Amino acid sequence: MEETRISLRDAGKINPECLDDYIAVGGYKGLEKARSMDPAALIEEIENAGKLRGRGGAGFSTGFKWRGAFSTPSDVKYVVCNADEGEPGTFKDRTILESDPHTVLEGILICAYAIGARDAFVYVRGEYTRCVELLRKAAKDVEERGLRGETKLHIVSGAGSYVCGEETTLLTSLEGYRGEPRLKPPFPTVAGYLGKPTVVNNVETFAAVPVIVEKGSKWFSTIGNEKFPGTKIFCLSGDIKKRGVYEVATDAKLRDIIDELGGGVRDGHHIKAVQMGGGSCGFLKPEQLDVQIDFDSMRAAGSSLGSGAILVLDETHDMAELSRSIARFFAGESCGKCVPCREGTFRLAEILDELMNNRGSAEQLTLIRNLKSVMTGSCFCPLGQGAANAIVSAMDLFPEDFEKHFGKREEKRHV
Amino acid sequence: MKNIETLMAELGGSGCLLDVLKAVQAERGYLSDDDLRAVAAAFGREANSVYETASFYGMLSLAPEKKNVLEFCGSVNCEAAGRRDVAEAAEREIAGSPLWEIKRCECQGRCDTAPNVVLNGTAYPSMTPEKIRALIRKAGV
Repeated sequence: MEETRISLRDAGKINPECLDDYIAVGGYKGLEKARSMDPAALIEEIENAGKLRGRGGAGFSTGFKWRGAFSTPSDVKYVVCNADEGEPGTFKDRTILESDPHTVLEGILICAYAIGARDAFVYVRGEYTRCVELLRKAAKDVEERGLRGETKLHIVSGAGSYVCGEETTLLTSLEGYRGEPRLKPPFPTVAGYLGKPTVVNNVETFAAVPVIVEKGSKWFSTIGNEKFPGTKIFCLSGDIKKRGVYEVATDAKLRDIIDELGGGVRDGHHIKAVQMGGGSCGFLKPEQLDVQIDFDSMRAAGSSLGSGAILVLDETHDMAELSRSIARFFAGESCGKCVPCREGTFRLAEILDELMNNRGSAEQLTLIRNLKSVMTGSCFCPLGQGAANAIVSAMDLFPEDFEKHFGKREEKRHV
Repeated sequence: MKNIETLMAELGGSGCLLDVLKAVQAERGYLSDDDLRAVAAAFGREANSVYETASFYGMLSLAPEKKNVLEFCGSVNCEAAGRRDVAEAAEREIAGSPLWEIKRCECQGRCDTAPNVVLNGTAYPSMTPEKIRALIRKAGV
């Protein structure tokens, strides 16, 4: 199988610091075309793009968001690019921004024109210092070349918080407050940054926009799965020969991505489990990999497309140990706003610690299941709602990994 | 040392509090109560509100840091790639040294080179126990 590149079309071909390089490969033509269109017609084009669905994880319709912000009456509107790529195992946005920052800025400027926003923000996570550098240079070049039109670009940077990747949390953080989520509705398209209508899209989504505008929604709709057209970028990590970032059409099969693009697992080993979509997504067993990677097929398979992270694990791993690591991650990242998440993630980590330290029992696994149902139903935001997903999925698929710790003492110390 | 107004002007008026706090921290090493009061005044906010923000984020420090700060990513990807062996080797190497601090950091978005560590703000890929020992010795225990 081969890659199909849209968002990564210029990666490795142009100098990311050079605006002329980007223009030489057709850059900012989409923006020019967009600005010759009526904003309503432009939004319709994005809606028609086989319903371009967001690439950040939730798969929400991009055109619907733009339409929402467009039709909400307000004198001030904003565009925010979510470059707070904190999901473990995900490094596609970093790859896009480090190889082609202008395509993202072009997508943002097209959106700003469509909804009538005078200010656009790129919120880049604090860890991505190189991306911030490149984006600030790119925004300055756009300004000097007179390409920004009516919209001012602001490149701002986070300070180390996973939950800020959630869009309402990101807006709160952008406003200079603790990273805590807000109640939806109102959705950001009605009341977002500073309470004004705001479109929040992911880096990968914005990167696809210039090409869709330039080549048209009909062209885009012919690529990949017809219900979820276009491409998706996957980040392969774990026990795989060729780790890295791959962009494929959405009718690709998960197994082909792992075996053909990733080269399969190390010689002499075999796949035990695959975690798709990030830390809160369930595991798949090797026999479940013949699934198409579009949003709906993944969901039907009991997994999730999520951010596009693919963690491949071979038979050397103990799923109980990895579950404890996942639990600790969420306990560390819970913002503390709501009790079910703050206490629930803490208890998940504590119970799995007990399990790994000679105090494991079947009752504890039941307790984890109960916690999951409470947290899914009562946590304020997706962090808590999904924190126990992967753990319970591991318990379902690999009960023996948990049972073997019943009454056993763990020898190794951990950090 | 630059004052807050100069640092804010250098940021080109992006106006985002986190960027300003990070710039102040880069200049001073950490964020003192006086720094937070000054930033709060510049933003027209109460000092306690800025403190609330500053105390939330992992990359902001409200007290002087040790000379060497070694950070391990807390994600399952680094765990699966052998972070624990690396972390244990690091702990043994720096045992009792007053110059070192080990803490957890966010995923560095470099899972293709896991396990990753961050030493004093710089990310180091594909860590092994041998490599981390060499890195620590080079920085000095």
